[in-house]
Amino acid sequence: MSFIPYLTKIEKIVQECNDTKTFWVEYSNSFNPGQFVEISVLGYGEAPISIAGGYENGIMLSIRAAGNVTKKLHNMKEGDVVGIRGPFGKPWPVNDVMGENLLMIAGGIGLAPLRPCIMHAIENRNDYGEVLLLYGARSPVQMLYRREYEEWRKSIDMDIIVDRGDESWKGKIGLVTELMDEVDFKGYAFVCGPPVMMKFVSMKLLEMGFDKSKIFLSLERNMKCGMGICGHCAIAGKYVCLDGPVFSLEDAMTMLEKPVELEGVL
Amino acid sequence: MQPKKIGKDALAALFDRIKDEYEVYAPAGREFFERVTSFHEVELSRRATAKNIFFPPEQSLFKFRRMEGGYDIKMDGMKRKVALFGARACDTHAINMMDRYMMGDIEDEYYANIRKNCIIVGITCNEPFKSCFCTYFGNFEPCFYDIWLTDIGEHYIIEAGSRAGENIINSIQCEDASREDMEMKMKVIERAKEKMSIPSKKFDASAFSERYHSNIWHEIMERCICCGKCNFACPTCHCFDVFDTINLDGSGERKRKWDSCHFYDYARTSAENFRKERISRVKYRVYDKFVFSMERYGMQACVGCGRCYDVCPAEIDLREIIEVMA
Ligand SMILES: Cc1cc2nc3c(=O)[nH]c(=O)nc-3n(C[C@H](O)[C@H](O)[C@H](O)COP(=O)(O)OP(=O)(O)OC[C@H]3O[C@@H](n4cnc5c(N)ncnc54)[C@H](O)[C@@H]3O)c2cc1C
Ligand code: SF4
Ligand code: SF4
Ligand code: FES
Repeated sequence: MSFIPYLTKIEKIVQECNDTKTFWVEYSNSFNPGQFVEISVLGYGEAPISIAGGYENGIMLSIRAAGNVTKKLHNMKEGDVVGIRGPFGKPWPVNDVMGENLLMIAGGIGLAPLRPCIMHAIENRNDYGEVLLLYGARSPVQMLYRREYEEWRKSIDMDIIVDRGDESWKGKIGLVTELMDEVDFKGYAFVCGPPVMMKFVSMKLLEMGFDKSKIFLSLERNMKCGMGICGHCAIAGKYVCLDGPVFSLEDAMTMLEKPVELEGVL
Repeated sequence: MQPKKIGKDALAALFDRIKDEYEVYAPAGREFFERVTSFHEVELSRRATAKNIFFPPEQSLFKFRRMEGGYDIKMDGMKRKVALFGARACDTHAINMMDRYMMGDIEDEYYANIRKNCIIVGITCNEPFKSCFCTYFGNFEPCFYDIWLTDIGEHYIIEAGSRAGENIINSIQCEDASREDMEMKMKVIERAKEKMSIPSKKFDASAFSERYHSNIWHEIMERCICCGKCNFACPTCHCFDVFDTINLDGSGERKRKWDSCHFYDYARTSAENFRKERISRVKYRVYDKFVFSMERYGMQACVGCGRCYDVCPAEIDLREIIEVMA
């Protein structure tokens, strides 16, 4: 493992929504659902980005323009050179869930790290019981992977809610926790989204009777190395880059320094 | 190898012998080890932090240059033979901790390149500084060394802790240390240990955990201005930031530099600042030294050197914190 990125090409870019693009990047290292890479633009820096999927030549990365590196990436073209390191981190425990029901709850860009898990469940559909995806987006135009929903729905259940609708939106309006009110579900839950969303979703899952050891959250932290050296991603001495980003709610709740996402969760 | 002794005026010869083979770094007037080329520059009575030798305040990770169809990347960082001259026992314990951070399951090449080719020539502390409390953690004796010196008056006891150290000692003029000399060494050590002012209570990491929400943290937080000086002075603080620089021709460099968990931006991301509150940052440093390091590395990250207190504008003394917490 090193700080030297592997130089490779952006093969394809698709505009997902107003602030997010998906990049198909040539890369041969294999990965597990939930892992992330560090993507570099030399001269601008590096950013940790979840692997949103694999394709024959590499990996898909869905990137929101948030700052220095990500904005630069949004200005790049197909064929441009980027650097990749990784994959890093602990994946979603997809094998532990075999034979059980799986509820996936995503908020905003949080759908990206769950996408490989969705693909895995679809490809191995018979290994799982019920599979349900609940997705909350800020507005209809901010939903990721819209072109894929129809295909997903052939194998798994999916429900969507948006904070604010628009003229064309005929679906539900509200918070993702409202979708949870409508379902009766037992089994495992995988959650990824903004900090406040993870807090309210965790509370709701506990209310619904989910076991703390069967709820998994993907946490985001400042990361400067991805290898457990720079210290930035630590929560109570656990390195999110090595020990996470996926943690069980049980483990996260017993951390002395309680993750901000779980403030108020009992 | 049997302990030897050398006359005080022979130390320059030892220095020269080492200088022939190694780049020598020593306390020489500042808070950190510095490159020295002559024994006269060495201030053996001074205590300095040595982490900058393995882990510089700012360092190049690699350089890049645009070329047809991509970039040319060159890693900076060569293997170098380095000697620390005049390290203290606390430095050896601190290096031991740093080795766990930087050369554990994943090896930091830049650190390892220097660390693995480094010898340590250390010296016993006859006179503790007012901030020292290493004996509290049992760190008065070094945990490893190549050569160790102890000032017993007219002479230094000189001991080898490795084959490299042995070879160097064999190549200079010295005589066997007598039983009396070694007794004198023990006396020097006992005297120094007694002078140290350490917390009165036995250390208890679990008491720290129990008092995580204690009000005392508010008092400490009120005093701490989050300047990060303690982190920079600390021989086991290892956090860094990574950033790029770019030149007009498109070439540039990826670098890292020391960072501090006290800084407001330390845990900031595009989604949230995870340690926005000052108290969370103040606590983090202390728990990372005493509790989290124990859980992860089986070792306390604080060696009791007191350097953080020396530099702290708010005079925050870990001994006081231990006294109320433990
Ligand atoms: C494990 C993991 C997986 C992730 N996966 C994804 C993913 O799949 N897709 C995705 O889009 N994102 C993902 N992220 C988030 C992504 O890493 C960040 O958005 C990215 O690092 C931002 O980098 P940047 O250089 O573009 O922004 P930066 O320049 O670092 O800035 C980010 C934001 O913070 C602000 N900011 C930062 N530093 C300062 C400062 N010093 N002063 C003032 N403001 C500041 C900026 O203004 C900006 O709004 C993930 C993060 C982690 C940890
Ligand atoms: S040196 Fe003192 S004031 Fe500065 S960050 Fe450290 S404890 Fe706080
Ligand atoms: S925390 Fe303070 S006393 Fe402990 S090792 Fe660091 S500088 Fe020395
Ligand atoms: S990102 Fe550097 S320690 Fe986790």
